[in-house]
Amino acid sequence: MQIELTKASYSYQADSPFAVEALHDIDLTIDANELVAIIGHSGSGKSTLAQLLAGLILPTAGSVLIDGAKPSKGGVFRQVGLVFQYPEQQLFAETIFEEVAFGAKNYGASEQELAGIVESALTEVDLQPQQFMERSPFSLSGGQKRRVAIASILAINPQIMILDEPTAGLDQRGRRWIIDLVKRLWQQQGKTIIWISHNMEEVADIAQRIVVLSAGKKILDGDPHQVFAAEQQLFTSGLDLPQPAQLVRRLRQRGIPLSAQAITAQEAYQEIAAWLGGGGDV
Amino acid sequence: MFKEKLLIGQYYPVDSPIHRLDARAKILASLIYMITLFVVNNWWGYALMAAVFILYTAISRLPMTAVWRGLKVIIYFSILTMVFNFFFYDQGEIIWQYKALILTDQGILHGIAMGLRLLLLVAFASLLTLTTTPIQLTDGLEGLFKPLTVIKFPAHEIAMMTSIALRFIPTILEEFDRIILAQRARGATISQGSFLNRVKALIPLMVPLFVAAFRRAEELAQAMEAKCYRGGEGRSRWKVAKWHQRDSEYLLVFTAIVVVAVLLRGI
Amino acid sequence: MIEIKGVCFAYDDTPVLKDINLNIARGEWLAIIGPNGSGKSTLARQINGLLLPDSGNVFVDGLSVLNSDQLWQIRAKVAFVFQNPDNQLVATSVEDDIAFGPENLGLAPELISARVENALKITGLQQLRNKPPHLLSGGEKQRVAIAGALAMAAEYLIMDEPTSMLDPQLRSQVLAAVKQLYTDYQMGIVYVTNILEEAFLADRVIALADGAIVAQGTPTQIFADAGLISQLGLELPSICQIASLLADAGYQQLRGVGDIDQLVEALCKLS
Repeated sequence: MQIELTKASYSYQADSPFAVEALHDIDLTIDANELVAIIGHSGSGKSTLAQLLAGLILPTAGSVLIDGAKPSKGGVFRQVGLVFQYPEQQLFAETIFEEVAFGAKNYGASEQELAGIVESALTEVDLQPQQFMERSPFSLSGGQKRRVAIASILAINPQIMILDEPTAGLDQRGRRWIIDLVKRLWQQQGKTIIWISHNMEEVADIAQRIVVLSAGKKILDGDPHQVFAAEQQLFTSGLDLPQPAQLVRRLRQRGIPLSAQAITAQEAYQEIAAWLGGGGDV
Repeated sequence: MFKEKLLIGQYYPVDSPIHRLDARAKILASLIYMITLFVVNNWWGYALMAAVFILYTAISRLPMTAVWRGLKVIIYFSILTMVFNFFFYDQGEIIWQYKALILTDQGILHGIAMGLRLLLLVAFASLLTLTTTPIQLTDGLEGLFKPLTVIKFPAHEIAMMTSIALRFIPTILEEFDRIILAQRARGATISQGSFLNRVKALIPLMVPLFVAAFRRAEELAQAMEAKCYRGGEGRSRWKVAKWHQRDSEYLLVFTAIVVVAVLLRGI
Repeated sequence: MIEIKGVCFAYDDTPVLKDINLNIARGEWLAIIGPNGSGKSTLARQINGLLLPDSGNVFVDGLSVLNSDQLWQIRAKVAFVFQNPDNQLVATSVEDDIAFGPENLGLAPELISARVENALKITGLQQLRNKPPHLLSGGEKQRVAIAGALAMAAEYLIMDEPTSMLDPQLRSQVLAAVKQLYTDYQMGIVYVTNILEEAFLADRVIALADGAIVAQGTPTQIFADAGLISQLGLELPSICQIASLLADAGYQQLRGVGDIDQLVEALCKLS
């Protein structure tokens, strides 16, 4: 399944003197089983883009095609799941079972199916179904609430998953867990993953492809190494390179012979260690 | 979206003699104006009130678009009031009749008068909020209610609550828009099925909204406590509104209008 | 001087703080790190009496949080900036919000004006003085909260994960404002975070786990202990990770370096 945006724009309060264009002329095709990161500052339009990709809003100009068709009014939530930023804020049900079952119920899953669906979704997010199903989602810790919210999207089993800042506010353990989950969904279940983030370092590690938004426009699109090589464009949009990449650049400026390829801590370490081992005096 | 629909009557920042008036004077004047509207009983009176409204708008240097946006909504109500009054006024000469519906000549005039009264009432009230910041407005209310604290009337608390409500309304509307989209992403539909189903469909929207509102309230209370807030006692005001001569003069003008309006009743 | 003496605290029978002892001097920048649920925020709230200890006591310049009269004096000295930028601004405009604290202290209007002007100037918010809070960015809102602390003429500033809901770009704006209060006004800063890059700015770091202090020292000392950091469920900043990997490979002098400039200099010396 593919999502295709052609010259898509979106304005808030369109047709009024207060119209604000949040996205401008976006051309973007995301193919099946890609892992794409969309990065930009707050106000760059990335959350609007997420909603457009999920068919929740329709472009005010241009087109969005999901699996070759225009998203219908009822939405395309069975194909494209969107996990909002701070999704735990959308919890409402009396029990975790009902919370997780909500989406599946909405597409008409039967009662028998629901039990299995909820169980496997909870298992996927590392919450023991028997232990948690009957509890109130509001009795959980912040991190657990987020897992329930993610499980409620997984229960719909969409082929494409969009996650808007899924790690926001989590500590390192929580972040690791999200990254592992996303990798699993991508590699083992073959889902398409669209990861919205403002954190360069976080996506440098995992994304196959990075799309950079600035002031509602797509300014870069390519694999992480290509994108981070376009230093100038990133700077003019006020975005910084990941710290390891900055380190390597600074060392190159000081005449140390490193290639400008490294973007993760591991890569930077290897480059520097190789140089030290080869020419260093240890 | 909800947020966009609720911008009518919001403070419009320009510098004008009206903007500079004390909020207390403006609130009192608005009250006087509204009461006078009910004293008026003939076209001369309405003409006077309309003239006051137009003059006031001109002096306050508000662009017509801002005033018009506020009026647009109320015009429907005015027309409705007018039509309603047409058919439920049974004095005067009958012009047209269909079963229980009667249209009389006086009924038409009465209807127009009622519609006009409502229109002027709301329009003038919106001028108050267009020319006065929310904080001035709440301070003004607090000032006017102050004498009532003698009988334990919670003037400060009411003013503080109003001001906090004004501060959070846009935030909460934004939040509501986001919740609607998020639940739609989970396949929720809100506009289908029987009445009971529709009410049920509101639960996924209302629960998160209230949970968030309570969380906000709790955090805000903490923030206020951390800033040494302990009610009105021992608290000073930064922008203490000063009553100027111009405020008295302004009220005097409005009193004069009442007198004229009363005199016009006799014509 | 803030003195936390033997503080224990529990939420419904679940102990959150276990016998915390800690002194913080005026003019010192202390960072408190620890995973979610370690009790960092609860500890921060003990300092200005938003939460009161079950046992033990907290003194600020000799005033006790357990004395209800002194508690208000403490809150005038100790300002607090919360995590969520949205839920701590009370008034309908920036300048009125900054004036809210001084008003509560019962100050004269002329003095409030002077303090508001000064706070606006220091935090660079003059242009935004009449804006309503909902039209500000998250970073601007946090700067308004910091300006509010300045206007109260607070001597200590407690910040509870003030940047965790912000973009990196906005984060650095907030940090710049904090740095200024620290260097130009010698405020004591207590900075709660689980973003370790930010903890590098502190004079001293304490690490909290399960409601107890498990380590304290300078940032370099704390971040040299990679075992401790991963045991806490935290992650070293990437510069620090690279330094630590190189240290493991035999370049011991790089251990604990967390600043990009320092690492560049150290590596250039090696060549």
